[in-house]
Amino acid sequence: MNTQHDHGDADVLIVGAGASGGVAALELATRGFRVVCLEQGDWALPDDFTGGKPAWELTRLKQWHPSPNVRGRQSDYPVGTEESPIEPLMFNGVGGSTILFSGHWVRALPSDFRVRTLDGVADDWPFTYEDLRPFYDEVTHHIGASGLDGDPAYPDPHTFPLPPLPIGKYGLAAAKGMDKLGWHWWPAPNAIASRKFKNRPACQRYGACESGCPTGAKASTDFTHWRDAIAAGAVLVTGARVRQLTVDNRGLVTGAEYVDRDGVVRHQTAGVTVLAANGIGTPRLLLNSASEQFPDGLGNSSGLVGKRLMVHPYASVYGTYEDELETWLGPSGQALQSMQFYETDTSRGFVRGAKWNLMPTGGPLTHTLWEPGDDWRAGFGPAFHTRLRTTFGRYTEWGITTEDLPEDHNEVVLDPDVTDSDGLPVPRMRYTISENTDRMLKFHVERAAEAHRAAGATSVLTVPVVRDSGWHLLGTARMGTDPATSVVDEYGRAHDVPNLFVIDGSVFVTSTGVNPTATIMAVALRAMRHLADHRRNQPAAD
Amino acid sequence: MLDADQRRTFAALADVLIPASGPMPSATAAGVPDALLDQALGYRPDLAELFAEAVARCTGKDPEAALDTLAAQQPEQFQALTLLTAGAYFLSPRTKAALAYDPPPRSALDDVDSYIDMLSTVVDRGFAIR
Repeated sequence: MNTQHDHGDADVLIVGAGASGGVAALELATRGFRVVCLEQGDWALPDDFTGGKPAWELTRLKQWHPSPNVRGRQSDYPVGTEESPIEPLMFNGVGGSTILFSGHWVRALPSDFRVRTLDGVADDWPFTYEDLRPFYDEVTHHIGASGLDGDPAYPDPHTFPLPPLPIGKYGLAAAKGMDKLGWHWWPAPNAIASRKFKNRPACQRYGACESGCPTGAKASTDFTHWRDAIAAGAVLVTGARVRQLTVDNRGLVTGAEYVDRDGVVRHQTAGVTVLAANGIGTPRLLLNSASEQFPDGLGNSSGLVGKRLMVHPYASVYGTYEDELETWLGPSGQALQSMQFYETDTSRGFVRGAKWNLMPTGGPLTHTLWEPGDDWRAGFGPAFHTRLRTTFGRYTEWGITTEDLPEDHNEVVLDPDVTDSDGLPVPRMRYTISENTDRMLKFHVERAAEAHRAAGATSVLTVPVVRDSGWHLLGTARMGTDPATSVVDEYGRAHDVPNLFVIDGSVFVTSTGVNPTATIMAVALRAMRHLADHRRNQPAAD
Repeated sequence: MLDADQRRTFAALADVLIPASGPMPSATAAGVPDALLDQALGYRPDLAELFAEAVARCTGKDPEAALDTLAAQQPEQFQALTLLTAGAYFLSPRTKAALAYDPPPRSALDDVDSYIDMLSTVVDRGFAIR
């Protein structure tokens, strides 16, 4: 399925085999393009994951931790985070971060694409929700998302190919609380199969989604896209870490130089190059591809490559319940979501809003973790059992995904001193939480605590900013119509380099307030279909 | 692999961290200092050094006082010690039996009927789409 041998010239080179890279490979390979993808990681199969096995709770904290800085695999690269309150989370391998994502499959709302027009902040996207809607529909049905039609938060009753996953006892308790308050909730859409779908079996509710689905029910792109893309002729090269893109004297990108698993530096030639390496990996590559022609980094005449990083600062509000609610059961995954406070209401003291997700809280070990600074007697000694009795099976989380707005000073830069295992400069995150986001977090945390109490929680614990929450790496090569204020156009084509495309979360103009994978894949599909439809007019390197 | 003295020291620490309570066994009664610790270390070999240092630092001291000192002065070691102790504890068949829960796998059975009436209220309330 994968190869380490010579691959010949490619029509299109894709860098990164994650969410957007999978979409690109399948779309282009089935349209007759010769596709080669370079992926620095490897395949991970359901049997590799530890969910449902004795090792799960210990290994999810290290070998399957979502932070590359904790995991520290050879396929990972470190990310400097000393100047960020939030750790970046990702996975490097076939399927990319969909291997470890929780599968929240949420569309952005129409207002997300018109932030400047509606709220006077940030910028509008170069297209609307209606423009993207057919691609949301197509991707949702392709990957086999589970959900219930008719959520009134959306203007259209978008459909799902699979019925919703069970909300369980904890979902029902939370729903009753939301109803008491008269607040919006809906059985949550998930990129997890509630029934057998194509090559994936149904979810078995291990609750281990965030450490890799042991069933193969989650819609990671190794299942949903890569197998079909390879069958259609795409060549996927694993263990291939791209270190820079190369250009010719016409200013076109000619492919990429990469380090293979044996440490050998190779070059992959391609007519068109597509970056799909996430909101940190993509600007890292562009900045590391500086040359005489492109002294500030490839495609960076705007100076915006790496800038405007958005990460969705995330709060957790936990409720403890007297009743046994089976909160160890998956999916994890979300049981419910709420858009009650998603839209702007300036009386709250901030603009924009946040999406809530109700989640289970895992196995017993989760409830006994000690962190430096904690009083150990609060969780061990006689309190060990008291805590376990009151939380295990009785503890749920309202998680809050806040929309942070783009700011130039939030950025990804190259570390001048530190390199990864292949000698490439390590990226560094410089990120601060804005006053608008800070107010948003405080407001939402208070409301989520109300929601728990209305549902009958006997106590509430709040984590105002979760450090290990930076799944959503967005905005660092934004799209737009003006080359002076954006890196790529609405189809991901670099303004400066007409045969270079960016299709991952880097292109987001604003972050939206929802989990971005559905939008990333819809935007990538729209871009790659446009590329395929207009191939005759597409400049390509020789 | 720990020697007998190290295991004795660890067993004393483990029983302070996890004493018996009602149906729940103590750490030693659950078998933590024996094969279960080795099993846990097998899953997390990265913690072996910190764990060994923690045990060495506590050797010959009153277990509770030693834990106080360790938590205050060597938090990484304390974290490794408590994670492996609790991790091994939950591997124990005695612990699992006492916890009396029904772990996955479980079928993802549709439960829409349990909330469909409430959902109609959500729909009736509507949503101001901008």
